[in-house]
Parts: sequence; C-alpha cells; structure tokens
Amino acid sequence: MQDDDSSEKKQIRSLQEMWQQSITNDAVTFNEREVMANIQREIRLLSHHLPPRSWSVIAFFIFLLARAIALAVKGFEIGDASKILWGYTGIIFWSIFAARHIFVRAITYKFDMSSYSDFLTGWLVRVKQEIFYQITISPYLIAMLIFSTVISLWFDARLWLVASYVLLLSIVIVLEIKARDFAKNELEPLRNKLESALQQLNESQSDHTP
Amino acid sequence: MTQTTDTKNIASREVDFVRLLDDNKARIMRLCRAYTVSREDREDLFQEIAVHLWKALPNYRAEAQISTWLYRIALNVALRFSYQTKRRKPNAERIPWIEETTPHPHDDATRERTEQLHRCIAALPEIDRSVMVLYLEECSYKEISEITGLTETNIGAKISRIKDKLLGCMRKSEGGEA
Repeated sequence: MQDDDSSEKKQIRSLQEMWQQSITNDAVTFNEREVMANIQREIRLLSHHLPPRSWSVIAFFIFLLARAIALAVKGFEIGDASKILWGYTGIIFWSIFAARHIFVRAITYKFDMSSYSDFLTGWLVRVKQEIFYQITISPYLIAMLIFSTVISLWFDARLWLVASYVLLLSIVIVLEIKARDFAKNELEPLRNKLESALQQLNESQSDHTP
Repeated sequence: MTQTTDTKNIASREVDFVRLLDDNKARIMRLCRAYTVSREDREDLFQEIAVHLWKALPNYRAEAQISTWLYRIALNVALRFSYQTKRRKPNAERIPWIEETTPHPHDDATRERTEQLHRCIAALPEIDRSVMVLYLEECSYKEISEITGLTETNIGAKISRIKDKLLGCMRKSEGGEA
C-alpha cells in the first residue's frame, strides 16, 4: 500500500517536472517596447466607455429612429395605416437594439477579473441577457415584423415590393433560427455551468463562515 | 508638478509590469497552452491576460501573494477566452510581440510524453483543468483555494480524483503506443 502511494507520488512529481519544463522562461521572448505599445493601445480601447464602434451604432440608431418617427408622423398626416405601423415597428426595434447595446457595454466594464465571484456573476448576467433576448424577445420582434409586412403588402402589393419584403424577411428569419439554435445548444448549457460554479462558490464561502 | 508625478507613476508601473510579465511569462504561457489549441490562440490569450494584468496592477494589494493574484486573473481570462473561442474570429490586428520557441532539449520520447500530458490536461473539464494546472504548478491547496474560490477540502477531493484520471490517461496512451 505504502509502495503504491510512493509510486504515485513519484509519478505525479515527474508530471509536475515535465509540465514545468514544457515551457520555460527561456523559451518565451518578448519585446518590452512592443508589449507596452500594444497594451496601451488595448487599454485606450477598453477605457473608452463608448469606443468608436458604439458611436457608429448610436449614430445609425438615431438615423433609423428618426426615419421611423418621420414615417409614423407622415402616416398620421396622410392617414396611411401601414406607414404608422412601420413607424412604430421601427421605433420598438431600434429602442430594444440600443438598450441591449448599452446594457452589454455596461456589463463588460463591470467585470473585475481579479474577483472570481464578480467574474462569474458578470458573465452569468451577460449570458442570461443573451438567452432572454434570443429566446423570449426575438420571436415577438419577428412576429411584429411579419405582421407589419403583411399589412403593408395588403395596401400595396406590387410584385417588386412583395419580392423584396419576402427576401428580407427570409434572411431575418434564417438568422433568427441560427441565433436561437446557438442560444439553446451553447448558451443554455453555459448558463447552467456558470450557475453551478457560482452555487459551489457560495456554498464553499458559507462553509468558511463561523 | 502633478503631471510629473503621474508620468513617474506610469513609468514605475511600466517597470513593475514588465518585470512581472518577464518573471512569469512561462507560467502564463503554460496556462494559455492548457486552454487553447493553436499557437495563434495561445498568443492572443497571452496578450489578453497581459492587458488584464496591466489593468488590475494598481489594485494589487501586497497581502495576497503575487502568484495567487496573477493566477486568478490569468485563469479567469483563460476560462472566458476558451468559451469565446468558438464564436471568436482570429484577431486580425494581432501583433507578434511575443515569441514562443520550442525549447525541448529532450529526446523524442520525453517530447511525446510532454505532448501527451498537455493532451490529457486539455481533455479535462474546465474547472478540473484549472485545479490540475495549479497543482502541476506546485501551488498549495490554500493557494488553489484562494485562486478558484473552492474550499481546501473540496480541492483535496478533486485533486485526488483528477490525479487518478490524469495518470490513467497517461498510462492508456503509453499502453496504446507500446
């Protein structure tokens, strides 16, 4: 029995040595200046709460929201129900899109990588939000889009209009199906793993509490 | 005056950071190896860990061991990275500022065993992998507990189970080759 233990210890010791020898400090070289330049560049991007991409998203959002409002107003003026409907659809769509974008950015900057608990909680919030959006919100948005399209085509069913609406809707529906599959196959198992890790962590912390 | 002090602080932080990275580059790279498949991903992950270390450096308090603090950040970044890899496109702006040479001065058999060890570790579930990597780095149970947030008792039980799994995997591959 003792021989078994000592043999296992030797084997583990040998694995530890092998592991530590697999990559040694001599085998990794880096250029200090390039390291610092690269880090500073990344930090500059991280420290902007609204990086260039966010500004472009916001600009695009404002543009489309303005178009949607203009369409709704015009619809009221000329009494065109389809235009009013499209205007409202646009406003709801782009408001949800902007809220989601702002939420994701806020969560990203709340991450504290040196705290395991914060790290898990932040990640879990982000994953839950993504699942909620893909599984619960998106089907309503798609239904709204289909409804608006049908109403619109009811009033004006020119062939090119029907063809372009059908093409655009098909693209949206295919992308939505892919996103839902991803949420079900990848994000839900990940959420379960994170919840279990967080629970394990909380239990182990309460074990420490006298 | 304030600007001079700020510049001095940044300069001193840079010196500390480069020293920290230089002293621990192999540790970080080994950990990156456990969570990535390709060399490009390994270098991307190293870069991401370096950025988070730099960001967290001003908050480091001396009561925690620097290695514990470093492993905690590196592991958290690696765990997140390994989940993102499936969705992530390769970093087109990656700057090849870090270079890893294949260092093995060993014979083919040792090299093959080392590769096998890495494969066996990569096959472990994420949390087990974190615990085993830290164990192979010779961290104490207390340190592993501080890094992962698990209790020492839990870690003891986990390590005993993972050790068996790892040794079994190594034996199996040696048996398979023989």
